[in-house]
This record gives sequence, C-alpha cells and structure tokens, in this order.
Amino acid sequence: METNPDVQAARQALAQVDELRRRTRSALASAWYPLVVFGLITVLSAGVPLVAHEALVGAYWLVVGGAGSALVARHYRRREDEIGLAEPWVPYALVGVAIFVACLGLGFFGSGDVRVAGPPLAVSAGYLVLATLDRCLSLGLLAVGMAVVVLAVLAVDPGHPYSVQSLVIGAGTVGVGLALRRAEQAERAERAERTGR
Amino acid sequence: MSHPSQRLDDVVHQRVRLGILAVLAEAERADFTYLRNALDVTDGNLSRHLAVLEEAGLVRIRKAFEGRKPRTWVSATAEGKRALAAELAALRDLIERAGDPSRS
Repeated sequence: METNPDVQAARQALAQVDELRRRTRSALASAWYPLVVFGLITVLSAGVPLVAHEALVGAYWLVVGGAGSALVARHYRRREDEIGLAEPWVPYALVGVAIFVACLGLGFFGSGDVRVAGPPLAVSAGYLVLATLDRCLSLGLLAVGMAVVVLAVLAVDPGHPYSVQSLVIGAGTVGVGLALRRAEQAERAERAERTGR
Repeated sequence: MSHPSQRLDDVVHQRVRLGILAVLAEAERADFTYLRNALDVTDGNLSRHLAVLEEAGLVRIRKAFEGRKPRTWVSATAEGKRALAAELAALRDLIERAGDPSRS
C-alpha cells in the first residue's frame, strides 16, 4: 500500500483527470448521426445510374451530399446547445474538406475504375483519420470494410459496380451508425445511473 | 533537474481547477452548467475557480445571451493547454520517482 501522501495525491489527481476526460469524450460522442445520414445518402445514390444516368452521380453528391453536410452541422449545433459542450470542430472540418476535394477530383476527373473506386477509398481513408481522432474502433473497422468492398467489386466486376458498392457500403455505414447510437445511449444511461444524474 | 513536486503549479494543481482544464482538454468549450455538474461544485465555488484561471490567462470566458437566457461558455487558452500538460507530466514524474528511489 502507498504511504507517501504526495504520491497518493498525485495518483488521485491523475485518476480524476482521466475520468473527467473519458466522461467528456463520452458526452461528446455522436458519430452515429453523420454515419446514418451519409449511409442513407450512399444507399440512395445506388439508384442514380439505374433510374437516371451515371453522369448524374457527381451532381447527386454535390446537391444531396451538401444537404447531408448541412443536416450534420445542424445536429452538432443542437447537441452543443443541449449538453453545453462543443466538439473541437477544426480537425473534423479539415478531414471533411479533404474528403470532399478528393471525391470531387476523383469522381469528376478520374476515368474507368478510378472514377468508381477512388471516391469511396478517399472516404475510407478519411474515416480512418476520424477513427483515430475519436478513438473509435467501430469507425476504423467500417473504413477497412469499405476498402475491402471496393477492392472486391473491382475484382468481381459486376454489371453495375457503382450501384453494387454503394448499396453494400451505404447499408454497412447505416448499420454501424445505428450500433454506435445504441452503444452511446447505453453508456450514457449507465453513467447517469452510476452518478444519479 | 528540479524535483517534480516543485514543478506542480498551485494555480493548476487545485482539484476543481485541474478538473476544469481536464474537461476543456477534450472539448472546444463547455458551458458553466456542464462544468458545475461534471465537477460537482456549487455555482459560487465554480465562479471563484474560473476567475483564478481566467486571471492566470489559462481559460477564456464568454458570456452570451441565447434568446433571453444568459449562458457562460468557457474554453482553454493555448497557455491553459500547455499548463495542464506540464502539470500531468510533473504528476507522472512524481509517481515514477516514488517507484524508483534512486531518482529522488
């Protein structure tokens, strides 16, 4: 047993800091929402080449993806007001802009396989960075899963590669988003029960 | 090199003030109510500790009206983030030295 009071106090102070940081990260956690929104948009985009024309996929992402970004921004603004905590937004905005620029470049100016596989691989790389920032294993696994789906579609070369990969990736993203939501709610409920708040 | 206990900063080391900086290390900003609940302190107590941190240049306090409701937002300055990192390093060093008496 520790007898030095300075060391005991130091251990207690570090434990308090770790617990507060963990609780703050947990209160801020809300990755499920952008995943569900962009997962649904991805699923819907699978229909664009089938019911309209492949050339409209880029325009679809500009318009519907832009609306999705606005929804996500509104969600985070509301949460900030609700819980009294604001996420450090700069790193997330930088990753978002990097994904947008990469997808735009690869989707509009790429050709053949690059045009189909490039944007989701860019999103996958972005998700890996976000998973590291958020220390979120599920998001990291989703990023790896997306890359695997893209490579599998390239290898199999089905009739409508964009639609197939969008359906699989979109549904997977929505699934991970809903699972994260359940996990976040369970953790908050457990914490509220433990602290009586 | 000085003993780590001499590197502990009185402004930062106090329990509530250390807690405020710990919350602000993870969030861009936190409001007064969140900090009060997270740290389990009274309004007056939290106000006093925030004033000490603000005077030392470690936090920035912004009061705003949202609708008709006043709200106080607190964020850590760059100096505040550095001070927390230095305090945590000194605390870890103190614990390490206790485990290795030859360094005392």
